[in-house]
Amino acid sequence: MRKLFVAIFAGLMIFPMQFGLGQPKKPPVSRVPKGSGNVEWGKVTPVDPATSKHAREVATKIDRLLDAGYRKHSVTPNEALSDSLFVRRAYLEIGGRIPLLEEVGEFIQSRDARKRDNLIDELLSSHDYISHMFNYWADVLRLKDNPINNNQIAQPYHDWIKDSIRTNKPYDKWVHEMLTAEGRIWDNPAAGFIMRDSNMELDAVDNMVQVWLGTQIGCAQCHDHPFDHWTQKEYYEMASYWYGTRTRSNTGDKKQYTKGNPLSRLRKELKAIDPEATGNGVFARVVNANLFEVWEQKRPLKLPHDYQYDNGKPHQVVSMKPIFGSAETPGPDKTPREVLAAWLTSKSNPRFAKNIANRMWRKAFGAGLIEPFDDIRNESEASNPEVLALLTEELINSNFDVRQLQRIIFGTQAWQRESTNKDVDLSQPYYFPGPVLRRMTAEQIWDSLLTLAVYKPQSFTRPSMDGLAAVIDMDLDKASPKDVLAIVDEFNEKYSAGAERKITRARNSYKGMTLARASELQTPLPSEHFLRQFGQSDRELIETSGRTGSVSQVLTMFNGEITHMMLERGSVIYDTVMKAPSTRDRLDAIFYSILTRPPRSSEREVAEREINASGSAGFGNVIWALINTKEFLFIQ
Amino acid sequence: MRNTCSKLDDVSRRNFLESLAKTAWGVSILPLSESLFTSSAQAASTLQAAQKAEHVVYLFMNGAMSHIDTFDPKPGEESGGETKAIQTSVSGLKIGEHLPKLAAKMDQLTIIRSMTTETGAHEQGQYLMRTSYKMIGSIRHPFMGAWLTHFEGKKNKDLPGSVLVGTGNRHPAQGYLSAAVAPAPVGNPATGLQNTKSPKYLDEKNFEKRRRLISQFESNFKKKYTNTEVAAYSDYYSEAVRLLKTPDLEAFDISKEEASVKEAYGANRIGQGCLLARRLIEKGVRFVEIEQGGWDNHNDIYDTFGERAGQLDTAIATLMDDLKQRGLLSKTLIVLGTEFGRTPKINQNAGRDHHPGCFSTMIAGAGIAGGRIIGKTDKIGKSVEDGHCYPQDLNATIAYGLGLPIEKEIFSPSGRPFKVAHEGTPLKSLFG
Repeated sequence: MRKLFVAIFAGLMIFPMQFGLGQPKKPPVSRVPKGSGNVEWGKVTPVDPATSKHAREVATKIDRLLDAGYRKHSVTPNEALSDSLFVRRAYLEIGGRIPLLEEVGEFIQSRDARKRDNLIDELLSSHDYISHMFNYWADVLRLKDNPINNNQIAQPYHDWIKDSIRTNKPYDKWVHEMLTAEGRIWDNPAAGFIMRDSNMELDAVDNMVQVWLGTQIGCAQCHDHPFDHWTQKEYYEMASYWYGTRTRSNTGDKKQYTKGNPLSRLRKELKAIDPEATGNGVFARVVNANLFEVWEQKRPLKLPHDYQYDNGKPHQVVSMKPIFGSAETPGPDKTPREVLAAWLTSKSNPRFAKNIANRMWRKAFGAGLIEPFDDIRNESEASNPEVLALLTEELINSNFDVRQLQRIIFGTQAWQRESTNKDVDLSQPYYFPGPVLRRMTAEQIWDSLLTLAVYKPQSFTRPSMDGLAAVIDMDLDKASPKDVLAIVDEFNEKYSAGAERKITRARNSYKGMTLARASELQTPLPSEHFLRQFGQSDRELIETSGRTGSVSQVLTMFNGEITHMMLERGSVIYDTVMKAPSTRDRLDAIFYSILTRPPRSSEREVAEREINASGSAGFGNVIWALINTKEFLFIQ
Repeated sequence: MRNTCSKLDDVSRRNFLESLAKTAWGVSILPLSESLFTSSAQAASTLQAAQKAEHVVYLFMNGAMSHIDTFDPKPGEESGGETKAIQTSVSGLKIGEHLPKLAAKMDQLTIIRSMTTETGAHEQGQYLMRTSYKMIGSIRHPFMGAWLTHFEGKKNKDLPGSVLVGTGNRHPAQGYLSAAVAPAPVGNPATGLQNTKSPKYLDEKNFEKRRRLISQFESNFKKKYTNTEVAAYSDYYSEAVRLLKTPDLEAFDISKEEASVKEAYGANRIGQGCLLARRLIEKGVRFVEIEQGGWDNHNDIYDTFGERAGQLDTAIATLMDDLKQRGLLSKTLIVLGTEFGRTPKINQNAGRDHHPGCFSTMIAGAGIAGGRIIGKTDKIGKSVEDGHCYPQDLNATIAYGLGLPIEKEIFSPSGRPFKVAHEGTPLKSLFG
């Protein structure tokens, strides 16, 4: 094995022979795109080496607390992960993809006693991490390119989220920026969070409490909460902070325009110049996109007309009050929304830090310390309360460094154990003998297949929307139809879906498929896309991605373009196999590339027999079969 | 995952629900109904074999379809909005103007105006409609298509027992039942089931060889990991292989239809979905669920409502005609469901909000006596006045029509007893 890695790293072996797979003798130039290695995102802020020791100490403490739990509940911890299973899990769960053969080799061959911690740090400081975390938040925050209708453009917000992950912005600051954002999305992309629930002020509060506090108050929007203690009045008091948050300019408010609907005016003027023109399509879109702006209006919230409880009357104005604890009083220098944001993201808010600590634990282990993780109540108990308390405390002490928290979690022995090999009933406390066995997410499968097929796919970032402001921003009172037509031209050329297609077609498509990491594709994807088939969310509701199987998925793995693409000349795995000097090395390379382990002797025998019978096409059959195993799909 | 009731056993959960219905909801939103809490023991569980439906086309209106603008119009009331009522083919019965073709077929269909449910949250409401059970963290319940395959077996052994067209990830699918009765999801009816053609070089012999390789390479993993989801993939593999070998696979390909037929159904998701459903049912698929989105009309409801409802109207009417012509309507139940209704009050954004208090569904086809409207809402469409029908009652009705054993207790792998339609009572009067 050593010999193979060495040969590949040194790049000594150059195409010793022709590799069949049914290709003609003089194969055409590969159709598989290759990335340059440049990633437009900029440098990732690396994890701090100075806090590495502390992270290790906390991880050890957590393991001690978990050990006590195992003893108390007579749980036997799972086996520790071998190096090869560890490297696979680390790449998948931190970077969102399987490791390349070189990466496996480098890790397995290293004799550094700290190599696991080093790999965790390296991955947490990589572009892969940004991509993987973005996928997580895209599911939680229901990110859509055009959230409410086609006129809203949200991509600057999505770029901003990636940037916040890249610079490791403190989590409380990140949330605070979203909650207090004002302006148009291209001027202040954090406004995208508020835009997502445009015109749904009451639901927006329900959503943010679920996402940022792990608590569900939605039932109380219409009546006192039947299962938790929230009353409808409390819901309204909480929502009243948010009720003046507007996302659109209207004729009445004279905010962005003073003379009636700007689109009607511009259409009329356009017709005067060109009687044929309709002013529909992109013309209307770029004008309407300017109507979306987050701003604050004084707007009292009243109890509903059918309010039925004794503690208030229908149509009565409610006062502002958070659902628990206390908050400042809004005034001339602090809008209600700023007060709410300060309350929500405060270190003393008992659920804000706890929620994200529990979420990050769940993300790593497949189960929260508190379950259900998104319905935390006063009486909710963590399966190991001391662990959750410690994580929460660490998070607060690090000023909400969520990446540092993940570093601690990944550093525990518990996370570095094999997954539990039987079903876990989440209605019962789980004491974390190891992570829950999970199928890869849709994004992990897609990004892993891409890793096997395409060189440096992380180079294919989504065309950026930097510069959109200078093009699209308009004064709605003054803009002339000619101004708008100029905007339409530039918008079409640079920022439309058509422009994006043009770029990706030339750069990174294969048989009509855009080959880019899942984080660099449009959102939501059409329902027939590979990612949707494997469970990517449609972005309608909070965290609705899935990991369950279906017959359609199996058909796609059997026959889909992406499976067959990697059997083509020019794919990463094809070239890797080509470079290996002997059948034995080739089989090692295939198994390590796909399953991150060498073949067992019985498997080697089967594979060799196949290759003897089918010649070089046999390698293709082995690759295809391995990608179709459950071992490939599940994270052990 | 929500486990609202998971920590309660079944008896205390029942009590819990009862007490809730008497307090929180009972006051004005959900008056206590007999049907939810009384035993369905008095209900006969099966129809005569001759009347039994063999198939279901279930149309799910995702987002919560406004009852007032479709099957329960309130002309002359402020709550009625812009929607006018039109005369149907049955004298004295009127429905919303956006459904003229269904109005003309009123004599063949039954409308239930007294639907009422427990939640105004989409995900939970959809789950309840599809399974008759509340959504909880510890178990996933089966939807009706899986029950049907479970009890009756497949009609065509090579095709899936049920097919989902355009439904989301959180569809409960087969729940805790075996993956062998799992539905096959189709994202887009126009593209059908994808990736059913192997590349040219991959002949059948070669394909078999590759399959053998898979099982040899994964035997260790399968032995070690006995988790349900791992085992489920084995079922999906077998099903995929059966599918690839049957000529009936063509049923998934609507491009085989004449352009005029496609046009009659409508060049949109719901229309093409109904056409796909007819092709599948013809070849023996038992249950097809088609989802149409876009009904969550919080804003500017009348901007798009007519168009969407029009597509639905055309799709169902064409499906009924087509099935009838092929002798299949008498064997197929057509059901239209949604998770809840929308508020009588039109909000400041010219939309309607969530309203679990009442909503409408429609049922037609096999054994269903047409020309009827079941239940009644008040003057403005806010509360049910008569004949409360809960999601579990609607499901019991479908199960009854299919001849499924409604009272039989089925035990989940964790040993908990469940029934096809929970404690629902079938509306037997709907049948002929």
